[in-house]
Amino acid sequence: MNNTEKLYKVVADLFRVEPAELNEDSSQDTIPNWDSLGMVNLISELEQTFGVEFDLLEIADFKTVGIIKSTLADKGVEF
Amino acid sequence: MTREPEKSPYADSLADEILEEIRRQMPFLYRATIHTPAVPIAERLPALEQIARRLCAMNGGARDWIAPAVRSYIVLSLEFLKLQRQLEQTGRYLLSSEREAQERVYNNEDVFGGYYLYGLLLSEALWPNHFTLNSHYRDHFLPSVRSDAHILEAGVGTGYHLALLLEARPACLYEGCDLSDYAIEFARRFAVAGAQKQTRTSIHKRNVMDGLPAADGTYDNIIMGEILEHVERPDRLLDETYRVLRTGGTMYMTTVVFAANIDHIYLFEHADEIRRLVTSRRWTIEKDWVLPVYPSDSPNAAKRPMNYGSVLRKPL
Repeated sequence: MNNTEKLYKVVADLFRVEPAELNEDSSQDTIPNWDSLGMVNLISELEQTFGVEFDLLEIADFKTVGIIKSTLADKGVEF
Repeated sequence: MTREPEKSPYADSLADEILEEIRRQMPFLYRATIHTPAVPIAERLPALEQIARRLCAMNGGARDWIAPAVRSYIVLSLEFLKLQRQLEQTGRYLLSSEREAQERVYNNEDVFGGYYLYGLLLSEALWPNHFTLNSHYRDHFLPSVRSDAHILEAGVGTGYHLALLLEARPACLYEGCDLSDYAIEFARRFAVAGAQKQTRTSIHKRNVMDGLPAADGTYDNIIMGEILEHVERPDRLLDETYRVLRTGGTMYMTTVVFAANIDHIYLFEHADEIRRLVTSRRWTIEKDWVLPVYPSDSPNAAKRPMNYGSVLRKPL
């Protein structure tokens, strides 16, 4: 599984959507189960899966899957 | 399953602009903010509009503060969610000393000089429990304050309590203290400069835990909003405020139970712990309110996040 697939799996499992439905534009607007608890679980899962740590200002930009991917890439995760 | 973006039903006031900006920046938080059946958003909008008008005046009438203020609110809200998770896992707040809190929060340009105060101010209207406690302050405490009362506020913060006080009791004699230069400057601009008339207010840089330079029984009323959880010895804080209040005077006091924030130090695990502490320091509880952060929790639950508010009296 490559890192894009890992990212999509984390998002899909947490928010109960099919990975095939996700793309970089998938967002809080288009994923109905993206709520407060989901956001906290998402941060925790991403930090564990990719071995990174996010600061609050980064998290405050996590509106789309594409932004999350780009933040992970900035932290050295290869896509 | 995916869906179309949710449209904001609000569109023509400063409060509406703020909600729309929250929806634009962080849609899930917009949904969490407006979908709170216990306190419908329509009830909170007037308070948000009032805060927004003062912020507009404070920023020279421009509206370019809205986007950064909303971002501050988002950061503060996310910080609560993240730290609350850590609290539930560790059973401890992030910080354990006032010195750490001063260095990392109150005197930190990125925190108190950055997102914290604007975010906290918007939460006064947008977080249901903050809004409800502010309604109790307005409806159950301010009416009992004499028009010329001598008032102390221990921990001025954003100046929101002061702003409401000056609207209700513009002729009162007010002394506030805070240990953050950022908070003092912010409160002066938000509450005092925005007041309708000339006021008798002064705000000093002072740590209440060092003792207050006031004789016993100096003040008619005291305001102490969300300070108890920020100190290592809340018993000493309750004793010092008791000393400087006149016999028969009242104090409006709020704090939190098991609710994380970057600068919370003293951990109450149950609302009854607060009641026991307060009464053990000779105060009587005139009224109090325990508001769970999550509506499914009972106010009697232990180790669940709650806001606590009270009107305390120094008995005759």
